[in-house]
Amino acid sequence: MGKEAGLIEPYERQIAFRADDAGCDRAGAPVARGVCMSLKPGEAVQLFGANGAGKSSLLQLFAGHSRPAEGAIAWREGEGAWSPARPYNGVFFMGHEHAVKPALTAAENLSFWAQTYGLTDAAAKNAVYGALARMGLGDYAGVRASRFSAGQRRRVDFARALIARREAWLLDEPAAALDAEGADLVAAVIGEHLKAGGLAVIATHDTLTVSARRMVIG
Amino acid sequence: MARDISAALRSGGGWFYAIVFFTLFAALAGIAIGPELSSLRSAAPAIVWLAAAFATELSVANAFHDDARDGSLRILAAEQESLLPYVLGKAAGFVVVSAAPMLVAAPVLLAMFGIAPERLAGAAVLLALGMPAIMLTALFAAALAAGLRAGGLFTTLIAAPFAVPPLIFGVLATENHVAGGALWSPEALILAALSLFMAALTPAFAVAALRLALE
Repeated sequence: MGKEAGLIEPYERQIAFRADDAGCDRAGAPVARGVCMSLKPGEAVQLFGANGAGKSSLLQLFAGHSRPAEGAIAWREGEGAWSPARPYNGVFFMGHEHAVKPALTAAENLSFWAQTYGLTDAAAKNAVYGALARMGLGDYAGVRASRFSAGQRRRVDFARALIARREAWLLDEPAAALDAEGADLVAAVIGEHLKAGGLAVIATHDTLTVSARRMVIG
Repeated sequence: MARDISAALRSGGGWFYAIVFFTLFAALAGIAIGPELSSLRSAAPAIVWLAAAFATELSVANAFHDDARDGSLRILAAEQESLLPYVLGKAAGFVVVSAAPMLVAAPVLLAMFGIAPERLAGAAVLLALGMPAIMLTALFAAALAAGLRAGGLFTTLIAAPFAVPPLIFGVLATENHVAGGALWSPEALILAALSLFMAALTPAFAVAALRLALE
């Protein structure tokens, strides 16, 4: 385990996010409408709402995977201008699926993502093992993900957040399938992220122990 | 490029089945035709080409399915400037995992069918010349079907007609060569042209299709 045991270093950039009356569709049907929020560095919002209310669709919209059906979203870097485009290398998105390949080990899965997130080989190796240790999977780095439980896969997927080191986290049910200890771990890491100057939008059913504003969708 | 191959391999799933399918198909076809060497010899090019075409289509059919379903594709599309390296990585992965073993096995199968030993290398070269055309159209079809649940069937239906030209010219060129003709017959050149044509077009098409599947 690393000396600083996974404390997230303060981010160099200050990124802010805003949604103005934003609405999104799912499969052509309107789901969320009139969503307004404004997030400064260090702030977080927890999205609540029934199944089908459009929490995931909103996160997809914020991540830039879809276009707003109405209203607008905007990002700002430092004191720069607001822009609808997500800041370069500024957003980390975790969907409700696990982007974890069963055939690969935990470390191999994360190494792939480390490269995708632009880390050099040397940096990737440290980041992968550091992130796995932080998520309580230090002893499982060489184990194939097919042997993991759903909660363990979730932990591997969440470890991506520590590797990507992005200022804005968009998390869809980060604590799904996690045990109490895992949920606390995720909440603690999100807390560190906010303290480091990051922001987060979290769709969730169960309240995570994170200092975040609450917003109900639908 | 190594990273893209690993990206392709990590979601490869059943690509190892290509070589198994290829060998079984050819072996069973041989049994169906019967023990007479002259009929085996005349059917050999067609059997090997058919087996290669089917094995290729089946192994590429679900190339993007896993990545689309587990959200990897969406992350890759958002993180990378272009999906072209990813698509080329899938193609490279196919060459390493599926095509290479088939090309090694093809001469062995042809020899079993009674093709003269000095013609085996040429026949394998012709197969290598035509396989990219079949694989690339199948890859494009797989990209089109990336977001669909029954994607594999859809892919095969789209890709099958595009396999016709390489099959025709591939079998003709191989028959010509094993019967004593030159390796670089006009059919072989057309086969190479088909592969080059597909190599120029389909990767960009596949990227566009993947973007479309993500909408």
